[in-house]
Amino acid sequence: MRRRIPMVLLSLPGATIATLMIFIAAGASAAAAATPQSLREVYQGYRDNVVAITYTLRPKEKPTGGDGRKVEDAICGIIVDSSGLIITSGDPFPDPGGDPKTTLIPLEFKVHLRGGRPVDAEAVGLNRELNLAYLRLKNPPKGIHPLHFAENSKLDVGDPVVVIGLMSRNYDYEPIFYTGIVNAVLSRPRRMYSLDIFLQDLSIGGVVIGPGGQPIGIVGEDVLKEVPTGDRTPSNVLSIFGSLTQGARVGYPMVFPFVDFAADLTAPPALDAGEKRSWLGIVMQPLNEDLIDYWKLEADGGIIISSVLEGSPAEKAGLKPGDIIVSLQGEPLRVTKDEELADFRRSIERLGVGKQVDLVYLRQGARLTTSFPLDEAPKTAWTAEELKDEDLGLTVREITIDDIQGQNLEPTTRGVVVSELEQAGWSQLAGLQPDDIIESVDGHVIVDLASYRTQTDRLREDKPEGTVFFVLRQGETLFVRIKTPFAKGR
Amino acid sequence: MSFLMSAPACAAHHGGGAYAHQDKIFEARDRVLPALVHIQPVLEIYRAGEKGKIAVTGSGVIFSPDGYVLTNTHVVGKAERLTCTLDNKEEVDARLIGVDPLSDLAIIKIDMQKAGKGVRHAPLGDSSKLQVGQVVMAMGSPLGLARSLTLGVISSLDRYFPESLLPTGAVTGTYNTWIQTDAAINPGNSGGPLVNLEGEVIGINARAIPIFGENLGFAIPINLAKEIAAKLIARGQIARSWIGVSWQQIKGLGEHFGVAEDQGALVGGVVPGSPAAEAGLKAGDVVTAIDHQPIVARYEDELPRLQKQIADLPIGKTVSIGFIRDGKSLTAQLLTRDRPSADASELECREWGFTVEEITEEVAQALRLPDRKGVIVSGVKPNSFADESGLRRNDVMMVIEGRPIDSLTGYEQIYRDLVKSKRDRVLVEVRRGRLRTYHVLKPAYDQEKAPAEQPGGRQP
Repeated sequence: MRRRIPMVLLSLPGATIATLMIFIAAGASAAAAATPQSLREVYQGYRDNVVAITYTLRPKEKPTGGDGRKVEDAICGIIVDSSGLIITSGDPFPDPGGDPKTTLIPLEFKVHLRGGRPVDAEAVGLNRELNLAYLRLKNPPKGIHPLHFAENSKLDVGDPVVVIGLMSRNYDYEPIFYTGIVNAVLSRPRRMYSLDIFLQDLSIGGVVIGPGGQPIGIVGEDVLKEVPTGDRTPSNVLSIFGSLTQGARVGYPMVFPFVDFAADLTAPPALDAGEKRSWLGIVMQPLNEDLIDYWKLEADGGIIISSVLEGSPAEKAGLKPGDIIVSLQGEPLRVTKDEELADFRRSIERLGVGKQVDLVYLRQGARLTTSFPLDEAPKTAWTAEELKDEDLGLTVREITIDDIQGQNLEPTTRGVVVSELEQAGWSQLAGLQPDDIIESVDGHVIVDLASYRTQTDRLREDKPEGTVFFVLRQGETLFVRIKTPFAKGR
Repeated sequence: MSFLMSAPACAAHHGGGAYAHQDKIFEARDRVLPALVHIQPVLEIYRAGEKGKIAVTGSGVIFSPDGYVLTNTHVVGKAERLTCTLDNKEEVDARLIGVDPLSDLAIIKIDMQKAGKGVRHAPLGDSSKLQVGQVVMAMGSPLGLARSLTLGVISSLDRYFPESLLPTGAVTGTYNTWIQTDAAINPGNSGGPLVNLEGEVIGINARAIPIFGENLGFAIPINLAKEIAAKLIARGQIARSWIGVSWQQIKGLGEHFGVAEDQGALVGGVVPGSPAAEAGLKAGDVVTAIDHQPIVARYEDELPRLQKQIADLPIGKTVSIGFIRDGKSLTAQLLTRDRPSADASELECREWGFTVEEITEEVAQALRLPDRKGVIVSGVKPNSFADESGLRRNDVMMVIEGRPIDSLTGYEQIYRDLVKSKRDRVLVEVRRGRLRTYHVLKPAYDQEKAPAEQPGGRQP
């Protein structure tokens, strides 16, 4: 069900067993696991800790006329304590800030314990950085066996490992055993390990057992900041997993060592922690190679500030249009193309509200540094609160930063934005248009949804034959008289 | 006439109506057809970042003994060459006398000495005396088919269309309502005469609605054309007074503003910094008199007349303006100004792959620019250096190579200098909405690069 780009090398696992054998035979600490017998013991020892989790995806907000899209899917997880805490992939959870009508959120989690009935579970935590989620069984049955990770989770290239994941629903989520070796050790954005195994979908969230026969980590998905296309896909990658929920979220399967998520197991990060997106409050232009050459800069990329938004953290920190950000959290930026701007934005969003951001920027050739805390990003048109006015046949929402930017409005513009018009409704018939900004109703100034509600409640009470809206449309103002359905004899 | 009147087949097919006037049709035809002009201009167009040429076809009508021809701005505007074919099939060149995008009218002149035998001028009628249902003929070159005549009636008078845009992007149709006719009007008819049975030109055909509709043609009333023609012939251009108000009809809104709906016009908005803004007018004011003349726009089709009434005020004159605000009658003094020119000069920057346009006051208002500094990128040639640098249409170029741009002339000087020195790295600073962006143009000039200047510079 996941979008997968299978690479060749399907025959590799067989070959690796041989390789594994050789290495295991050579490694003193792994001697215990050197035989098929001991491999089987590893499998039998941990297979019951690996569970299938099924869930239903539904739109966050019920779309008009129906329940909307409904999808059932499954992921793999590991039971990590006796109270029924489960660590799994964060894949089912959407990125924050999407359109609530189309964004799917996971509900009705069921955990399939081996040899038992599915048990209800609920999401209790989400680590967006690692794309890991935490569930807890609602009524944990007695005698569940949690898995304990080894404290030392360090691996090196060539280390043999075992992965236990699951087969698909067609095979009743049967545990599946893989052997492989670590074929790369990554240090950025944090320590993780690449394996030479072609892992099936339901192995994301599976357990990784190290050379000592101890569980040392989880198969995670290193979510790519940029979706590879065509020739840019590295050919040495065994498989790339794309999320069903988040079509654009694509990642490589990697071993996430225990040390990365150890703290989460005692206190899982709050589910909505990532809902609050942090922002800098700038509009960006990539520092392309031509500009680097022209200004003779020593940089591999960066971000030119095109605009600093009013009241934003960037403004408070004194950043100005024309400044060029060349480093974030000590890491040089490599942004040179428009499509890479999203990576930077995401990095900022993931830092989180209140976190300190360290920037190096260039101003008139001088290299300056700044460090300041991030604020919560304001609402976007998608996440803005809406108000449906059934009587007048329109939906309005708060003015957002998108409107200010998109319609080139004064930052001080107040009012509500027409987001939807009922077909042949009173407002549409009167000539109101989408994106009109309602500034007043019958002469009463509208500043936000609350004042719009107050005024339209007054209409419902007074029942006039018509009401006059004062709207801003593409920079020009006009009055629109809307007949109301309140008058007698309707 | 009697022949046709008595022809049962015709009567049966056509209800006898139009054919009852056969003799009058012939007479009217003979008065106007010899004045009909088939115009084949070669227009200068700026498209996708390049200056180009295009040959079009339109129509026109000679209306004076000395060879002045009425037509549309969208037919002859920015014409490089004007070739006309007359009723006697003679081909003559014409000279552009003046265009007026706001009314979409234009005047060209042909040399009557060279026109040859049989070419005459047509009399102009009075469009205030027209009636719905009146028989009219359209003459012109539909789809290039010269000397065509079609017949119909006036379907409607005072048809209102909100301001629309000419192919050049200029606003038009501000000051007139339209004569609607079912006489077939097709592309190529533009600029041709709409003629009554007296053989008088009563309108200049300019528009049609070909999609979803049939026999929906629209002509500019001749009374407006007569006035514009006289001004264009006298001065080559039209000066209009401007106060900066966007008007709305009072119908339906009077009660809300506490005024009777038989007087006044509603101020929908005021352009910041305009005479109306300076006089203190605000959205929601109901203006009842300007310069002691009563103002009324009860229905929207009365708005063009109101616009014209204001345009006809003397420019640079203080006029009193009477209005109602919150139920109180107030008066303010207002200093009229010249209407901002809609005609922007354009320049092709062939070496760099884009075209630029001066920032007129009108454009500055439309794009909500804080001032008129810089030039506007009016088009970018696909796959050019400019395109690759990320330059886009409607970007405002503010600074080139550290040199601020104040006007199109200033820009042109900088452009010529840089091209002359074959600068192969050009840094452009652009205003895009509220954003400021930077672009490096990397033009490759035809000849060898001049090593004179080392490109590059400091981050601004």
